Amino acid sequence: MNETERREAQKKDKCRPGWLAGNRLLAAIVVTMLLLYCYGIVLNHQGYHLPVETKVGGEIALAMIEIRDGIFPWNMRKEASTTTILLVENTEIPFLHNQEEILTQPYFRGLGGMIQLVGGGLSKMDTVSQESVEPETNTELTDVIDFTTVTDEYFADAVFIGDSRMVGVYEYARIEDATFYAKESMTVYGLLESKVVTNDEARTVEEGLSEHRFAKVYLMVGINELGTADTEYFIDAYKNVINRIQELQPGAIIYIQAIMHVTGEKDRNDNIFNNTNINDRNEALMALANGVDVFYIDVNEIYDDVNGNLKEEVSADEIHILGNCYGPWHEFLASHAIPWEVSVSENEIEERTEEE
Amino acid sequence: MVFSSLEFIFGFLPIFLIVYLLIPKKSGAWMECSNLVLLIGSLFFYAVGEPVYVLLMVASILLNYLMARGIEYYAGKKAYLGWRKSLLLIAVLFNGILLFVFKYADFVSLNINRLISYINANLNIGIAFLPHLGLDMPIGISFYTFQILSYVIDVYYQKYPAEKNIISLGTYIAMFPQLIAGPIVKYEEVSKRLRKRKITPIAIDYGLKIFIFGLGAKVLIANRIGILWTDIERIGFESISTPLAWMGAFAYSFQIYFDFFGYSLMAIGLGKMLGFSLPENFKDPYCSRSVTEFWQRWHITLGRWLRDYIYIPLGGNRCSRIYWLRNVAVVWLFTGIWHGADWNFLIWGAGFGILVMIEKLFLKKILDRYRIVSALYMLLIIPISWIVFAISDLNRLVVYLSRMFPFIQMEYESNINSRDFIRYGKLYGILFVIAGICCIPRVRKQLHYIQKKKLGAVVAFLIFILATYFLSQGLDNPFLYYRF
Repeated sequence: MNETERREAQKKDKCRPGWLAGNRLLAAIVVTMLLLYCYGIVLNHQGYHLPVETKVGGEIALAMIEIRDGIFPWNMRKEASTTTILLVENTEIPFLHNQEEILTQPYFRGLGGMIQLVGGGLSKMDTVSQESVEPETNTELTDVIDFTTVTDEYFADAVFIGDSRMVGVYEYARIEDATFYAKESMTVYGLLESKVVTNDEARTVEEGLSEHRFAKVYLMVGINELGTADTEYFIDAYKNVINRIQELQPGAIIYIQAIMHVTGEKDRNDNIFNNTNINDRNEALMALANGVDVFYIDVNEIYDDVNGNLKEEVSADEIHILGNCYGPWHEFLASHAIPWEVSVSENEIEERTEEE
Repeated sequence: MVFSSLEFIFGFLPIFLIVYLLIPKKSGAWMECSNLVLLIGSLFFYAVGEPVYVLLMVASILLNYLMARGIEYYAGKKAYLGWRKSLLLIAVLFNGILLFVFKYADFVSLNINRLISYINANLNIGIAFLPHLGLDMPIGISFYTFQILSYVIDVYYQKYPAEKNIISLGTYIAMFPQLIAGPIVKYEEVSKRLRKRKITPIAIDYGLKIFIFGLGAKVLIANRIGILWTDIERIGFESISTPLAWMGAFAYSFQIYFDFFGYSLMAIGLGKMLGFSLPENFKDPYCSRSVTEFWQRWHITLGRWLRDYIYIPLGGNRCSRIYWLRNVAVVWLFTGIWHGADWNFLIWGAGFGILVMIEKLFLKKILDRYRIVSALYMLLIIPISWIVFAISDLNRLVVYLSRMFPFIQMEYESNINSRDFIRYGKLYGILFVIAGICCIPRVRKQLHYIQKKKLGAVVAFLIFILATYFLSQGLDNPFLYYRF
């Protein structure tokens, strides 16, 4: 074998790399994934979990998602017990005990000007209170609130905060002058930090609320949270959000909108996003209403079928309603309004006038 | 199980690969062993999604194996020509009936029942209705039935001898890379490798890169741009603006291409890693200048199958013009119905058939001469054809088309937000640009070229990380062709 032949043979050998040298990509992937896997195990141990149980690759998925959220080994929380976020102490919520009491409440006084008083509302009271099997009287509270019907002017100083369902209202309910801080997959946990577009610039809901004044705040979140934590945790977070909004918008009426149902089809086939879970959380949400400045309204009244599921014909994806079905929602909001000024306690009005 | 799932990437694939690669790839008994592992692995892969229908596939493999053996046994014996023919007929009928029962029976019975109820109402008689089977379609049945048919027919025409080893034949049919969504492989393309194959580190590396590029096409482009289509369905076709309707049509076109192209790439990549070379299924279809050309570039292995086993046996184009028109019509109706049992698929296939005929008669000359004409022509045909493909409900289909072409006046309740396309344009604009760039042949060639370089490894690594990230986020939606 002469020199050139040998060289060529060597060259050929070089072109034919070994298992390790030839598979650097595979090696890099395997190493990276093993690292992520280990990190995922640690995260799991520390109490971080994926919302959906995954049989294979769950640790890697968990590690990737937590890294995206800025959770690294050095700022990982130390123990699983700290999972609950800070609870605000339970403030006394004045619950009303019977209908007579409600009727004598001062906030049923009408207000002239922009609000048109329309009868009705009360007629619903009887039937609902009879049907209701809940022993707690406070859950009936909102059913017997005397809502009034208002014109669109009412929404001029209203802000709608919420998830994709609120985005739908923004796009299709044609509430022209209202402000919307709505974003797909918004959750109550990230609500205040959610980046939304206000006045054509992206900022967080919290910033928006501190810079603009609103008289009415409509909330609808809760569908995206169904897979995360339990109702208690959810409600605590919701309470915190309400408290913060009350701090930022003193005197505003806060409307908690019930989580909208999913269709029967979805309800049957999904063990997370079903109406049993939604109703469970809605009941807890209802209890957050105080009848003074926090109210609970349930749009399911108009979109449910007889079985309490979202009507199949109003939805194409089992979760959201079709663009041409938002009109009734607009009407629902207009007919489920609380006259603004009266719901605010005297003190707060005085405070506000002093500020001005 | 789909390739673009965490279970496959982090569960099945690594475990299977380790076992498979540990078996020495030497001819003889080791090869048998290797094939057996591949067969068992593939059956497991299939059984995860279809625990019952896996038996159907095994039965189909066994029956077709026996038929092919029988056909070969009687080969060259003139007296038994009838036997050969009947064995072929049995095989074709068996596969045809299998496909019919699971895929088309309900569609046919539904439409016959409609007819019966019409007759009953008009003639005042009571013809009994046909039953509704309501069977789930086994995953990949259209793919493996076609593959098995090609094998039996080839044996009948004595293109190659029948496979004596049932494991080899089973591996050919059930091999998991191509089992559930193609490419539709011919037996001659893998038979040599079933007897002898060598897996080199380079092949693994190359296969892995192709797999990752396919994964990227599926997860990073198809799945994400596909969300626009679900957005539009959520809004309801009645309430979308015309620009959004067009955006939706383009989004769906990109989605179905990158979905299917990505899946084919993943199959080819996996095939490479296992020591096989599977045929290419796509060659830049969206740069075609005519429908004829489009179908030479789109789902190539299906076109090839229909050409070899339907069009040419019918006489192809070497016959009178009337027969040729008939042949084209038959092939395109087959193409349509293969894609799904519904009227819209028939319309879709028939539409392509008519366009191919028109092109052959005169249009293609014009299209070939003027680039602008062909570009505009395809820019119209591609999205419209995919819309017909996408919407099975004919009423809804017409609604969508009336949104694309607002001069079609229709009565329906709509609530159009005329600024919707701005919002979705902002959300999906970048994806449209990326998807569009990836459709340019030169870009694809560049990607193919850098695969061999270090840069290719870096790009593949990044794509892999990004893809697993999006899969982790749960953005994966099932493959469009999965249920075929």
